[in-house]
Amino acid sequence: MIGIINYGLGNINAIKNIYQEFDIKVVEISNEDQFISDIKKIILPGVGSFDNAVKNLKQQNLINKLKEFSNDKNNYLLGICVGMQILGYSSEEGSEKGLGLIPGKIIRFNKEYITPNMGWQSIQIKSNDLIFKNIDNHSKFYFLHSYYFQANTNKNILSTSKYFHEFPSAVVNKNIYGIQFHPEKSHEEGKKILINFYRL
Amino acid sequence: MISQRLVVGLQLFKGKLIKTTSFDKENFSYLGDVLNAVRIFNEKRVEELIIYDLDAAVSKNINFEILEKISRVSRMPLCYGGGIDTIEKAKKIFSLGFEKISFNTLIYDNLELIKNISEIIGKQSIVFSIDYKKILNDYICFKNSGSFNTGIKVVDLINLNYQDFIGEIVLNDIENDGSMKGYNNHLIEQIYKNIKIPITLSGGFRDLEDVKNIFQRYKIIGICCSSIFVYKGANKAVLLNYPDLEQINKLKNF
Repeated sequence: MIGIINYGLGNINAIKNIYQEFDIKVVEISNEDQFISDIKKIILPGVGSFDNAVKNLKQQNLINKLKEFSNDKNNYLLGICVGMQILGYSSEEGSEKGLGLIPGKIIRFNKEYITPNMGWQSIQIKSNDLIFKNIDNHSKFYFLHSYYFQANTNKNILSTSKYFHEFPSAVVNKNIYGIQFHPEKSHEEGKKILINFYRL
Repeated sequence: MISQRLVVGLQLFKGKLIKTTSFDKENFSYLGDVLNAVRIFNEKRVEELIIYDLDAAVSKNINFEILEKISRVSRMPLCYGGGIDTIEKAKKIFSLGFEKISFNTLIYDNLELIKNISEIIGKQSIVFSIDYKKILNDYICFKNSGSFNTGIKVVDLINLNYQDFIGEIVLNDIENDGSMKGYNNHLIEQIYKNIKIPITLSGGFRDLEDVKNIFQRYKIIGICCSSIFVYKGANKAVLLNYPDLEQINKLKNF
């Protein structure tokens, strides 16, 4: 069973469709009562801007619940795109505080660059984590973002990608994962990541 | 550091997959079942799919049912355009699993609404689809599926600095749509240096060699083709096709 945080306008169906293809049960979580003990894996998809995402989580009383959930080492959390970014401390995109579950802050790509970084980019895998099981180094994934996660230390970086310069495209802190690209929109390799997460 | 996208553009009309020439809605070719096409393009690992509903663009009745089915069989990024004129419709399409929504007529008729939608779903998901024709020496924006001359020059529209609330501009060359004459890059050549958001070019691409030439010229660019990916041969027999990963790498390699 997989829980997906529904906090407004997340692209939830794209993720659900993939798990359903593998007969994996997906439960939507939109309030604190829906955190049930059967759910050991939760996906936090991206919603609009950084501040919007944090505000929506606050309104639905989900922030403390998510922190509690991640404190239990038997649980796993995966943030995707803006869902990854709000796992950091803060963002240049807004003034809200992130969840602070992975040490780092969110930086805007230089305004002189064409942004968002849109399209398929390869990842350079830095760590043999199970989330990348059966995924070749330099595989390509779909990106759509103008901000990126700047991790405080390299030990939290699972993979990097390059748009004008290198940036972390996947990060981890123990049982908490964040990926910048969209596995739900990245064909076979993307599916593998979502299934790998399910099997952690 | 390059970012080049090879996009498949599909047109819907009354629930069927069609291909127009020069945006002519009286005289188009039927290509068949849209879901079948989406399934095939998904298997071919298409980088991105844009769906325009020409019927919904006029009637404003969006065929959500078919969009939901399209989303269910797709594992690739999806963009939809046609008849989005309320926040609710925009949200609905987004929630079905599309990551980008495209606007044309609303750019000229109700820009405020697009800004509101952008605030809610995020600017990276908002696409300006600009249909243009060359009139005398200027490239002029058209609305209502290419039927209404707005009198606004594309260069002027793009200089209005929309990057605070949109994430992409698609440039559709109306007269070359479906012509397969070869891409005319005069317009993009004029504006490329000044743009700060991704641009996608559409209309008139002849073949993959033509695509490659444009990729060689612009490091960050999207190319959206229809005819190349739905027709085969001089007689334009319907055959859905898309280059494999190795071919794509060659197209982008320079």
